[in-house]
Amino acid sequence: MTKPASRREFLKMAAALSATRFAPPLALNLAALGESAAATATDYKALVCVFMIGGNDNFNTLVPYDAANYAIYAQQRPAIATAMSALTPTLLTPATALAGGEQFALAPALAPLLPLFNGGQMAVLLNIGTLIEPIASAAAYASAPATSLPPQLFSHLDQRSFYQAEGPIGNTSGWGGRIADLFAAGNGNSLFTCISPNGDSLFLTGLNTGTYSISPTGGAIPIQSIVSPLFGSSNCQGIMKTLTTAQRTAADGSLANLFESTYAKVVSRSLLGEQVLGASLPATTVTTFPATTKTNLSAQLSMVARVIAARNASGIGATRQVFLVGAGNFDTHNAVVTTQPPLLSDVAVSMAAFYAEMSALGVQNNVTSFTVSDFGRTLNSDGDGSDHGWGSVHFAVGGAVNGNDFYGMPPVLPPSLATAGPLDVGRGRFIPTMAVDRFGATLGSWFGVSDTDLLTIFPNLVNFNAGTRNLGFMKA
Amino acid sequence: MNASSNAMIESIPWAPSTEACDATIPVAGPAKSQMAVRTAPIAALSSLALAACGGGGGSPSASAPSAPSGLSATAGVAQVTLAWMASMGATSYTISRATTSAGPFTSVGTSASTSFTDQSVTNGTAYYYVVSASNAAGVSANSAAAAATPMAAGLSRVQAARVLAQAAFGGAATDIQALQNQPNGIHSWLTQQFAIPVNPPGQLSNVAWMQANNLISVMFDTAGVQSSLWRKLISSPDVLRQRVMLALTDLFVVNTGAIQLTYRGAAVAYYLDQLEANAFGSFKDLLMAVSHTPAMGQYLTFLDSVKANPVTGTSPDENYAREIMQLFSLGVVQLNLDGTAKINPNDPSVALATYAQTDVLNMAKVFTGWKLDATAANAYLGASAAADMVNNPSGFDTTEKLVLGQSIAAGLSGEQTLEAAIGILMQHPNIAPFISRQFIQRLVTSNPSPGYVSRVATVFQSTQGDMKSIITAILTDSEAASSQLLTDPQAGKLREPVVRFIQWARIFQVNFAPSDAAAWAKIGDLSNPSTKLGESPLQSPNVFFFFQPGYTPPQTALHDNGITAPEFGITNESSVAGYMNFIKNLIANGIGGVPGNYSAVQPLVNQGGNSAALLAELNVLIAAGQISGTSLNMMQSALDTIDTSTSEGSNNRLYAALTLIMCTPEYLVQK
Repeated sequence: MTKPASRREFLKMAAALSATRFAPPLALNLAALGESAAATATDYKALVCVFMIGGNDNFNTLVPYDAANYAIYAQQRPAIATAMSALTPTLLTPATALAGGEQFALAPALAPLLPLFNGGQMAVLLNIGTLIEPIASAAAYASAPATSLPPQLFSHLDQRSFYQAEGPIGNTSGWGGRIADLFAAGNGNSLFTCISPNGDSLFLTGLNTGTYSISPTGGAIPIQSIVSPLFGSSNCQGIMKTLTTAQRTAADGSLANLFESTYAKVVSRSLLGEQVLGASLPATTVTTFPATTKTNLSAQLSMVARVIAARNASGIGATRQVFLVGAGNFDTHNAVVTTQPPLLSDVAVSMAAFYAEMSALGVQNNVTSFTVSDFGRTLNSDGDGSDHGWGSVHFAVGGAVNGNDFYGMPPVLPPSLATAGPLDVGRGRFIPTMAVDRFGATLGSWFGVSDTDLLTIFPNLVNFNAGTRNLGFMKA
Repeated sequence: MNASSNAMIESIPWAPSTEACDATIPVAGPAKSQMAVRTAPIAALSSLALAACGGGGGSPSASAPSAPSGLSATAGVAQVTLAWMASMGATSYTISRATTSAGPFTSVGTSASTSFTDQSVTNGTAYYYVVSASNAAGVSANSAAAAATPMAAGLSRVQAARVLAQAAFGGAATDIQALQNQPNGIHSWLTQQFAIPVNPPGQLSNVAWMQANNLISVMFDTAGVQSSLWRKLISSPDVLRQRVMLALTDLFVVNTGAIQLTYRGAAVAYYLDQLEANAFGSFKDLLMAVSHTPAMGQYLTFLDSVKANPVTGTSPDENYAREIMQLFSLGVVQLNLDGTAKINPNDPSVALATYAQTDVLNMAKVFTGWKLDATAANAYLGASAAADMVNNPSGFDTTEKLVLGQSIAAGLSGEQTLEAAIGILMQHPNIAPFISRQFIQRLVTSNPSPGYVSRVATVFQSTQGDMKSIITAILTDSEAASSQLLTDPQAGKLREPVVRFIQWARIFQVNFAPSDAAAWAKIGDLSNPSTKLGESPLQSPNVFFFFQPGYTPPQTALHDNGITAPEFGITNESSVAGYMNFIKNLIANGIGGVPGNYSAVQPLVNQGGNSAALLAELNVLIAAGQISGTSLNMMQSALDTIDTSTSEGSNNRLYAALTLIMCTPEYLVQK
């Protein structure tokens, strides 16, 4: 098998990242170029990112349950706290209990995920978020130079972007895509490496690998006027294809217009993708995905499952794939009590159904899904909701997950309304204690990325102790 | 466009017999004299000519008159004016016309006097005229020919269509003609559009229309207000206001379905009416108006936000406080007047932030105490959602606010505080370039030059954000009309899918009656990317709209050249297929059971035995002439193989031509 990551590609990747202020020394990474074990993978693995767009309210997702912390939680958000009695059925019992008797319960709406946690297929990541380097305390945050903090903390677009790119807004590659860059050439058709039924995403955009967009219901959409005669005319059908896919050039042979050129390339990929995937995609999933009510996450994940089922089809031959699904309206500044539960229910129902489908396909140990969001939210309420925060709670689900456990440390909650906790930078916005880079690197390592390549893909990783970069929630 | 280019007089050499009169006949010459010709009464012209040449010969009426001499043809606004010298003994003159100097000439009318105005002309076409004189004894020979190309206001059809693509939703042939007819081109067109009152005759406001159709009190409405908006966008004659209003909904985003108000349809109708009412006012008025609407108040959740409560521990909602700065006025990084980011002198790799979290916290205090106006609630169910919010002093935080380095004094009322806060935003150096550049992107081009942004931003500043001045500056800038940008490989703007749809609907007259609520409802939500447009008004997935102004599609030549292309944020393998399928179906079947009205172009389907005329006209109407001859030839070669001898075949050729045009990247990228 050929080495997928050419020196030229990797140089390009490294150069692009070094244009940011987050780059590790280049020479270090380039020394290992071409040695990547990942390049020769022959088994199948997939990562599935579940994006909760808008900044999921983490404190009503994983709720403090022990008496001391529940009391603080209820005090900070009196009108929107989930009743303790409602939490009892979803109290989590991790394999390793937290220090000091600290306990957490899943939101009642996440009950469909409880069997996965108890069964060891789901891990819970505590206080994870964007970081460039460790920030030890609120005092350290107050005096930190701008270069050591993610840009525009608490801003949706900026933090959503940084979460995916680990670089500032305007950075046009994400870590899912950068991981995929290493594997795309090992797939039978690199087009089917990064796939989204939720539109384009920064996360899936590498330096050489881009998002292939599909419909959550239709999969690859055929262009009627190119795949069949246009109003009865096969001549017009042919011209339609030429006009919409050709790279129009000026007299000197250069591209006549870059916007037109870019558009035509998208149409070309649409046609190519549909020719292959349209023929290979199974009509249905093996199991039944329950319909979701507030989002189409169920449809998106069932479509991802169908694409995974077609991984070995002629013209696809995928060994490594990265997917992204997503749903919005998690920005619950108000009415969190009525708005968030149906959204969380959609997440839980869909992810549980997806795991069941992967089991039915026999690839439950090869596929790992995980949640991300813009940021966490304030513990402190604004009345009937919460505002933009920082550290949050996320889940990883799959047969390769070291589940039934918590990873990381929850933040110490503020002892009173008037007194902030040590990691609290205001209103219960908590400095993360696990960087997204470490989370991604743990997944990447499972995927087959070498430690050296991880340092290039995750430019902030070098700022964390080598011994703690892998969070340990994935099986070797 | 200056006056000197307005009058177009073309002339072919005079016949030898009339040469002596040349000096006295107004013909092609300096601009001033051309204008004089165009504005002088015809009678004065012909008498001038007559006097100068002494009235011609003195033949008796027993014989046919001699051929008229001194024929002049003056191009005007969608017309050509002819004048000639009298032929002795003539009782009538016959005017004939051709489109080549050699003819054949066919009669276009007769005149008893020595002048004639031909109004059945197409601007941009060169016409050749001859005149013959007649009396009872017979008909003279034809005069020597004179030529003129009507080209109103200096705008060709293609130029006018390009203006309408920027300032409107494109236009039908009549719209193009009307713009060409303007005495001062886009300037007088803008004046005319600015003068159209909000909700012109026959067009109800959104709230009034919802009331008239019993939709205003529908609980949890989304479809009703959406119908009302489609009605406005497609059928309202104040097309500039509608185009700007659409751009404002892209900026001040709300999503009806995400608004947690019982009467959210009424709320959004009112919000839309406020955008329209203030579209030609000041940007400050817009910010004030939007900040009072229950639709925005609930969508960005400051409605019912109250001051911090030390007992319960709740804090003011930060949502609108942040987004009014980030999205509606300033952006997150400090800008130069030309829209480029300021360089941080201490570390060029770190952008200079416009504001900090403390500014958000202070601004959040401004947006406390805002409630629905209970006094409005009695008019009809939902009336309080369709009225300005009011500030309730008991919920308002009266303490001092420190926003962007300025103090808003303690003790002011909620209204006074809001006005002060928006005043601070209006004074910030970011607002002019931040807003100006986005409006340019919405209307004209995705990558305005720094100079273009700077020119518009300067107008923004000097007029305190006067929208008429800003819109005028954007649409009359030399860059908007630049012919160079037609061929610049880095210039352009992917047309918004919604604008493409509205363009089709307006040009081909989706004939819903303004009052037919059920018909307008059939358009519905077009935001499904794999089956429809991937974009629809009032359906944005969140406050960040469907795409962002700074977006550049990765791994493309656009990205490699640092070119922003916002609309590519919703352009992917799935959505291009969805669009192409949607538009094909739309063209053939219309929408909501109402087909497009193609009567204006149907006669061109096989004119001259081929599709060339059809394609030429569609290229102007739809693509402002921006589809290359090479592509048109390719289309024609395929289209001409469709037999048009049956009505079905004729329709097929028309539909196929329109589908090809509306799917070709040369159309999709507005230049």
